[in-house]
Amino acid sequence: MRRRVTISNEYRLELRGMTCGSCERIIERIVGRNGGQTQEIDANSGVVRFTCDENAVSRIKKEFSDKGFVEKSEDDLARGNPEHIFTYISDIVSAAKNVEAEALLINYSVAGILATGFALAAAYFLMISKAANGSAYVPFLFLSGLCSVSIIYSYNNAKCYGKNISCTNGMMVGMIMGMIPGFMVGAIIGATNGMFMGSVIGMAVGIVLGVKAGKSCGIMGAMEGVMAGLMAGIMGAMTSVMMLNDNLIAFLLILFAVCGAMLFGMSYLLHREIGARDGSSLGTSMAKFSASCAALGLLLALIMFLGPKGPLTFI
Amino acid sequence: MLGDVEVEKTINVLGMHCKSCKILIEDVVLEVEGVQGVEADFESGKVVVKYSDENAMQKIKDAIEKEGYHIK
Repeated sequence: MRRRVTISNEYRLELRGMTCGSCERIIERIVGRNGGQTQEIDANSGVVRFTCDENAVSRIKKEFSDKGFVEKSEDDLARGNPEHIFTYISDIVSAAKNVEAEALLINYSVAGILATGFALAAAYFLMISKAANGSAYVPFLFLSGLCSVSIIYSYNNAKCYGKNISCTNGMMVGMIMGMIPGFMVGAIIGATNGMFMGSVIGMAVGIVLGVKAGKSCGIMGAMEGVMAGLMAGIMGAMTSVMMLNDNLIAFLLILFAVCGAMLFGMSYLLHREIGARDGSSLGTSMAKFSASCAALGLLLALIMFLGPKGPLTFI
Repeated sequence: MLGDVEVEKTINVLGMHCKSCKILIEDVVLEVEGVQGVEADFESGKVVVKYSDENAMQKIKDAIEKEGYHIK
């Protein structure tokens, strides 16, 4: 009697798209369904080691790919390295094809800066400059312009990844989009209007943006956005009020540089973890982008100038 | 037996939080005998199943709970 001999081999793959325990279960089930056995699986590294009949491996790989887990390419492996952030920067500067969405957002930002600058200059000359201490608002108007454009940039950057953002990355997005805008706005309004207004406005901006950006991956990202916005709004205002007599403007410039780096870090994280996005995935146009930047900048200027003032303020 | 009559029911599932949970739940439910179709939505926690075997519903719930999710 002839026996059919099957050769069972061990395979090791690095997959893109694995992010959580559910992903690991999907992989395990696919391997098991095809007669194989999973030896090791790690959603963090994307590594899966399994044994199976050599005839089954192509079927298993096909099923992985059907469920959205594809083998990492050379490009993915290179992109996964944090040291490649410099390549990412140079790709953006040279407007390479793999950073089309980011390059487009930078173009929009130039228009956004012009529109916000124009709106804030108009607000200053028509209204603020006439006040006795009008010139004291200038550095804060500059910061609110900077803050508006960077917030709108990052929000649109996060939104273009939409539901492709995994749970863990979505929590990071919710946290960054809640914390950084909340901190920046809280710090500006805290300096000009005091602790109460700074906290309330900072929290409001942080929570709204944190929830809107984080909800792409469900309730976890949204909750992370709420917590980050809540915390950062208060902390931003608190920092400014506590530093009123101690180089506040210089500190705010340092703070904004760090916040900018964090927002850029989020952009790299999304690109690294999920992959490049083309321009069509952006749900905004240059006009909409510029109008949003100008509206946010103007809103902050109006709150700064017309909003109620607390007992401890810079102006 | 429901015979060839296809029934569509919605199950509320707790614990789904991402796209992979949706894929996993759809995967386990489709393996249940008598299930014709399934559509899970992780945001609302709703899983819509189509089946034609009256015993399928309990098996579907068991399969979902076996993966660590809870049925409301």
